[in-house]
Amino acid sequence: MIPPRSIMARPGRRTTEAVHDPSAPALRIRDLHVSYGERLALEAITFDLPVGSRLAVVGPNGAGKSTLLKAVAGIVRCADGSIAVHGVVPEGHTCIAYLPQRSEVDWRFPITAFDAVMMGRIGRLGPLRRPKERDRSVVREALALVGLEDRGKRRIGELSGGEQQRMFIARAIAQEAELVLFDEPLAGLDISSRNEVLDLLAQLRKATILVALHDLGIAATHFDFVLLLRGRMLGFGRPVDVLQPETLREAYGGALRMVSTESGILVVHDTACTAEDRCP
Amino acid sequence: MSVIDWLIAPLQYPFMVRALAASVLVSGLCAVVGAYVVLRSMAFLGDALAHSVLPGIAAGLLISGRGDRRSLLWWALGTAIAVSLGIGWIGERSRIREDTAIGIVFAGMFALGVALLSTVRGFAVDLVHILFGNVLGVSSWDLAVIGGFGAAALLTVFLFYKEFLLVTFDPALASTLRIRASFYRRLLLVLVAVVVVVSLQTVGLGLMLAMLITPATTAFLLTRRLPWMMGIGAILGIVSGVLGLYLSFYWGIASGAAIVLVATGFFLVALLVSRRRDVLRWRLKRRSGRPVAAE
Repeated sequence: MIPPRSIMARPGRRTTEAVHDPSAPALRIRDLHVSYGERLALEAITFDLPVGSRLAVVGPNGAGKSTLLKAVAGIVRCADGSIAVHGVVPEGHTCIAYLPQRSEVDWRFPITAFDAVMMGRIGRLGPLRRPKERDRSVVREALALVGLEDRGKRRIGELSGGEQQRMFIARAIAQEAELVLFDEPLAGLDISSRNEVLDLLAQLRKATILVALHDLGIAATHFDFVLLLRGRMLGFGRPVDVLQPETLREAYGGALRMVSTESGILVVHDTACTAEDRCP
Repeated sequence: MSVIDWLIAPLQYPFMVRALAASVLVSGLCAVVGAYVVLRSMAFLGDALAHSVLPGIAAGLLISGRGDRRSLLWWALGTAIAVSLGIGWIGERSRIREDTAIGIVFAGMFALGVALLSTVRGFAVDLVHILFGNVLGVSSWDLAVIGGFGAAALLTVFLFYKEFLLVTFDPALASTLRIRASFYRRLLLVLVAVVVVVSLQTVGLGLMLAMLITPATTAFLLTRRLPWMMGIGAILGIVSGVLGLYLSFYWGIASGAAIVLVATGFFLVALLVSRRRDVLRWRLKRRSGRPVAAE
């Protein structure tokens, strides 16, 4: 859901690029509250994320996963609390990449994959400048890194779902992002496309990554930290510590089935809905 | 009569030459700026802007009189820019949905215009000219205005191409890249306002919308990149403008309507061609066993 324009953050005059504090965590959130008009979408979120780590943000539909990512990106204003990216408020950075849900993008837009990845360079170009050969080679390299080197001339709507997500990753690479916010990258993808996207995320070694996810199994196996949300923060920490039956039941209510196997691994069946939610 | 005679005959009238020049300029300009209107789904806004100019023109007529056509331009321009910024402001600040806000402003302004105009003697003739344009009455001064503002508008599109592209395609990325998205959104609105005003005399505010969106949409169906969409749109617009004027000259139909009808004809042809092409492409992909791309 795109938030109503009225609460969209309005970045002021173009500021100089924020200077990172090397001793600060990649992301420090203190008592964050976000509301859409009267409705409180997120309350009392507090955590630190070390540089280079990967965090899965999980929770049922409407838990505030997208809102959290948008607040960190500086797209949505926070009502209360603070967010610091590498020690500085998010508004000063151009190193944050926000990769939207596929459903929020107008795929009929007449641009090629190459053009879309080039957009990641615009912040570095500044006004009135045209992309130079260096920018073009950065874009070509980024496309090659995600395995789309032969798709550059395709219109974005002609790419498959997995290719579209990889194109977004290439855009984050071209942007030279240090904090990547990825909203539901696996939604609607088949298993092989999912694995390709996950492999690519694993390769982005230098960046700190936040991914909103539905699949708790992937959150448990592919991420350093898990943040469990349902409007408020139900748990933050290592996957084994957060993904416990009690906390999960608190998040998902009765819509969750759990099976314990002999090896002690919790197999979770996530329908991604809360009990009172309109489930399919 | 040979084709060449057919083409040359209208050119012996200076008013036809000026009308052709105005149509070419306006159609090309509208198609380029119209590309953004189409892609940002601002068709309704473009229409509203055109109609909202009416009270400005009416006020100009009342204050400076019918003889002073030059000051009418500034009245219209001032009104259009004020309305475009007002609509942008309402859309960003208010809890009312943007299209509702546009509808209210547009209808209210149009009513104000009609109310003001109805106090002028000979109101019906003025209204018809404003609504449907009077391209045959274009003066050299009008041409200079269209050319000057048109060049400024095209230069703006050229200079801020990538920023406009970004705020149109992905406002979220624009704000994470610290592009001043709301500034460029407003600049785009002002650009549309300027283009609407300088084009008014050619097609009138009633058909203005078609010049903005029809050639641009036709080009959208035929191409895969924005620069091409602008270029092909401009060519289609210009051809529609010229052809429409000739049809108007020989068949005695209203020139604005003739231009729009030709542009609509091109759109229908492109729609059929592109559908057929999509079906063919889909079949080819199926045959070669490649996965069909998600649309």
